[in-house]
Amino acid sequence: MSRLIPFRRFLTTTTTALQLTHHTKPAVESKLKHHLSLSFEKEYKIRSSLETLISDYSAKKVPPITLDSLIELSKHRDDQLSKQTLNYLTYFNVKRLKAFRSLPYLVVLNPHISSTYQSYLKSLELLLNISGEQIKNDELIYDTLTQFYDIHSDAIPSLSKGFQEVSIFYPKSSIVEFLNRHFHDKINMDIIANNYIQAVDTCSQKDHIGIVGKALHISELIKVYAGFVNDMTFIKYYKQVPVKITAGEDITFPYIGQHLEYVITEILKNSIRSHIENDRADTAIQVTISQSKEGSKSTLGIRFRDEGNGIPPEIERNIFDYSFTSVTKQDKNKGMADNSMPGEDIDTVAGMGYGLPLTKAYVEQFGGSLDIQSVYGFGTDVYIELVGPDETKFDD
Amino acid sequence: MLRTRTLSTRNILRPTTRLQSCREIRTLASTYVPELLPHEQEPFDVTTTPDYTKYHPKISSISKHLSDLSPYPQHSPYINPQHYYQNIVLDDWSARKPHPVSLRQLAAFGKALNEDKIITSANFVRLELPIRLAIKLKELQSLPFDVVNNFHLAKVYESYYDIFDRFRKLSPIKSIEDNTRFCHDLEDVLTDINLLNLPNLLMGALECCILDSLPSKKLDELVSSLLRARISRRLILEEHLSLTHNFMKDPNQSRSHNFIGDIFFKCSAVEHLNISSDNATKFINKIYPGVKVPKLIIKGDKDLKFQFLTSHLHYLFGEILRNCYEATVKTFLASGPGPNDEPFPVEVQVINNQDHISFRFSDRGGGVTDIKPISKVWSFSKDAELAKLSLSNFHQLPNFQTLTNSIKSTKTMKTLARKSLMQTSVGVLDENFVKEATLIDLIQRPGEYKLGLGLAMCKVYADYWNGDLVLHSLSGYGTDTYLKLGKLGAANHDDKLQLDRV
Repeated sequence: MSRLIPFRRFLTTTTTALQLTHHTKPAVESKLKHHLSLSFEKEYKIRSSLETLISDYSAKKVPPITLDSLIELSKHRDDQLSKQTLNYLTYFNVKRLKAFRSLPYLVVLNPHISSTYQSYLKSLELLLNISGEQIKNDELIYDTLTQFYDIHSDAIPSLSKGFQEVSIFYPKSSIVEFLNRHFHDKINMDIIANNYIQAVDTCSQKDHIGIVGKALHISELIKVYAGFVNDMTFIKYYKQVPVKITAGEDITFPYIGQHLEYVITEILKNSIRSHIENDRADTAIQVTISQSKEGSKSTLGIRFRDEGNGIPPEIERNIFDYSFTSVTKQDKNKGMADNSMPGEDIDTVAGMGYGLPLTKAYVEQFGGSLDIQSVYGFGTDVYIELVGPDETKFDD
Repeated sequence: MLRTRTLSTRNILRPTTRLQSCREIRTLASTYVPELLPHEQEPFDVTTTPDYTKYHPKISSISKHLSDLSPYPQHSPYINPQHYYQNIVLDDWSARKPHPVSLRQLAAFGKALNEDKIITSANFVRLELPIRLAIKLKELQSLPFDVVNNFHLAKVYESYYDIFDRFRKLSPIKSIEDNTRFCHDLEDVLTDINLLNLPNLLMGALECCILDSLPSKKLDELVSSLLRARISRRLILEEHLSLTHNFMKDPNQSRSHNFIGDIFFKCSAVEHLNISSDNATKFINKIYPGVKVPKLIIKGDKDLKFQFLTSHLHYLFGEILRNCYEATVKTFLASGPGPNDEPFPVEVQVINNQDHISFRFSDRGGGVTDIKPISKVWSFSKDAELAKLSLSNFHQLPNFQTLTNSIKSTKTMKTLARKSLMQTSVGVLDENFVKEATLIDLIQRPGEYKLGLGLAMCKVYADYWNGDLVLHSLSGYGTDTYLKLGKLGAANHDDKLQLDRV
C-alpha cells in the first residue's frame, strides 16, 4: 500500500486559490491585435485533429465497469490491464470534456468552472502522450496515472463555487443534471485509475485484487472512521459521540474500501454532529450490520440509527440536492444539508452541500441503494444496501 | 447515454430578427440548455491498444495544443478569467431597448440638415451601437461553449466585445468637432478592426459544420442573424457618416421630396439586370475563355423602377446570374456542341407587386444534382465534405494569411487582404456602400476562389430587405431561382419596425 494515492484527496475541501491575472483597464482604442504563429491551415489541422478526437470519443459507448469486470481486469498479467485502463480513462476524460464544451459559453467562461474544464484538457494531454509502444511500460503508466490523479484532486470546491456563481442565470435542473453525470464519470475514472495502481502494486495482493478488497471487516472500518470523525468533532466541540455496533460485528464483505470509507464517514459525520448539536453526545449511535448470500454473491446491509432529532421537514426534500445556491451562514448550520466539519473550513464554499448527493452516487455506483428515514423530533435512520461481486472470481 | 432534450430553443438564435423586448431576449438567453447532439453511439473495444493515428500520425506531438481549447485565448485582451465578472456591464447595456430604424425615418431625418440634427444622429449611433452589440454578445454567450470558443468565432466574439467596450465609454457628442472625431472612430469600425470578422464568422461556421457542433438549422440561423445584424449596424453607421459628409460639404442644401437617404437610388430593373448580366458574362469568359455565354431574356414588367441600394441589387443579381450562366455553360459544354450551337438562354420574369418585387430566373443548366436537400445551396450549414472544401479555399486566399500572421498589420497588408476577400462571393459585406469603385471590382472579380457561400449571402440580403430567395431544381433540365425583395418607401409600405431588417 506504500504508493497508494491517498483517496481522501478527492474529498479534501481546501479551496484552490484562483489565479486571476490582472489586466490594465482597456483604453478606448482597440486592444485587438492579430496573433498567429502558424499558417491558417496548419493551425486548423492541429485544432481539428483534437476537436474531432473529442467529438468521436465522446460518442463512443463502453461496457459498464462492474466489480466483476474490475476483478477480471486486475487478474490480467499481460498488457490488457494497461490498455483497458488507458482506454477507459480516455473515454471518461473526453466525455467530461465534451460535457463542459456543451455548456453555454458564459458558463465555461466562469473561472472556477473553467479551471475544472482545463484540468480535463491537461489530463487528456497526459493520456495522449502515452504511445502504443509504451503500453508495456508499467512504470511510465503508473507515473502518468499518479499525475492524472493529482490534476483532478481538489476539483470539487472550485466546481461548487463556479456553479453557485452561474446559478443566477443557468437553470438549477441543468446544473443538477450536469453534476450527476459529472460525478458518475468522475467516480468511474477514480476507480479505473486506482484499480491500476493497486493491481500493479504486487506486494499487497493477499487481501485485495486491484481496487476490490476481498473481505473487508465492516465493523472494524466503522470503528476506524467513527474515530476519525470524532477526532474532528473534538477539535471543534470538545465532545465525542460513541458509536455502537449492535449486530454483525464479524461480518466481512468484498467491496471497494475507499467507497465504504467515503460513505460511512459522510453518514457518521451527520449523525455525530446531530447528537452534539442536540445535546445528546452521550447517547451512542447504533450501527447494525447484516448480510445475506445468494449464490456466489452477497448483499451487505448497514443501518445507522441516531437520535439527533431528525431532519427538519422543510429541508427534507432537498437533502440530496447540490447546494449551489447562496446559503446564508445561518442556514449552513442546519442539520443534514451541511456536511462540513471542523477542519473543512465551513466558510469556504468548498465541497459544501455535495456530501450527501455524492454519498448516494457512491452507493449506487454498483447497484446499491441508500435510504434515509427521518423521524422529526427524534432521530434519523440511514439504510445502506450494497451488492458484492461474484466471489468465485477471486479464485484463480 | 445522454438524453437528448427537446426544448423550445428553436428560436433562441434569432431573438432579434424581429423586434422583441429585451426582457424576452434575456429570458431566452438565460434558459438556454445545451442540446446534446444525438450521435450514433459506436461501441468502443476497450481491449485494443490506444491508437490515435486516425487523428494525427503522432498525437503526442500536438497534444500540448489541447490547452488552446481553453476558454481564454493566449493573447486576448478581453477574454480572460475576469471577463465573466465584467459581464454585469454587458447586462446593463443589453437590457436597454434597441431602436429599429425605418428607412422612412432616415429619409425624413436627412431632408434638412442642421448642426443639432447631426449631433443628435451622432449620439443615437453612439448609444445604439453598444446596445445592439451587447444583445448579440449575450446571444453568443448562451450558445454552447464549443461553438463560440471555436478559434474563429471566438475572434468574432472578441471583436464585438472590443467595439462594444470602446463605444460604451465614449462621452456624449456635443459639438461638430466631437462628431468629426466620432466619425473617425466609426470609419475605424467599418474598415480596420472589422476586416476579419466576416471571414472569421464564415470560417468558424464551416468548422462547426465539419464538427457537427450545432444542428444545421441552428447554425444557419445563427450565421444569418449575425450577418443581418451586421448589415443593419453598418447601415446606421454609414447613414450617419453620409449625413455628416453632406452637412460638412454644404450645410444649407435641401433635398427633394422623394429622397430616401443618401445611399438609395431609383433603380430600373432592366438596366440593372443588364449591367449584372454583362458582369456575369465577363466572369464566365474568364473561367471558360472562348465559350459562348447564354443570353439573358427579360420578360414581364420591363418599365419597373424601384428605390433600392444599387450595390446590394448588383450583388444579388450578379450572384444569381453567375450561377445560372455557369451551370448553363457547363451543361452546354458537356453536350458536345457544334460550332453553330448556342447555349440555352436564361430567362428572367420581372413581377411588380404592391409591397414587393419578384424576379424568377430560369436556366437550363441541368439543375442542382449534387447538393441535397437543395435548401443547403442557400444555407450556411454545409455538409462536412463541402465545408472542408470551402474552408480549404478560404485558407488559400492569397494575402489573406499575411494579415493575420503579422502582429501589427500595415495599411498595405490590410488592403491586400481586403482585395483577396473581394475575390470571393462574400467580400461585399465589408464594402462601403458609398464607394462604388471598389464594388465594381468585386462584381467583376475573378472566380477561382469558390467558397460556395454566394447564394447563402444572397439569402441574407434578401431576408434583410424583407424578401426571400429560393431555388427549385428540375434534375437534368435546369434551375429556377426566385428572388423576392420588399419595396422601400412605397406609398402603402406599412413601415413596420424590425430590428436587423429593413
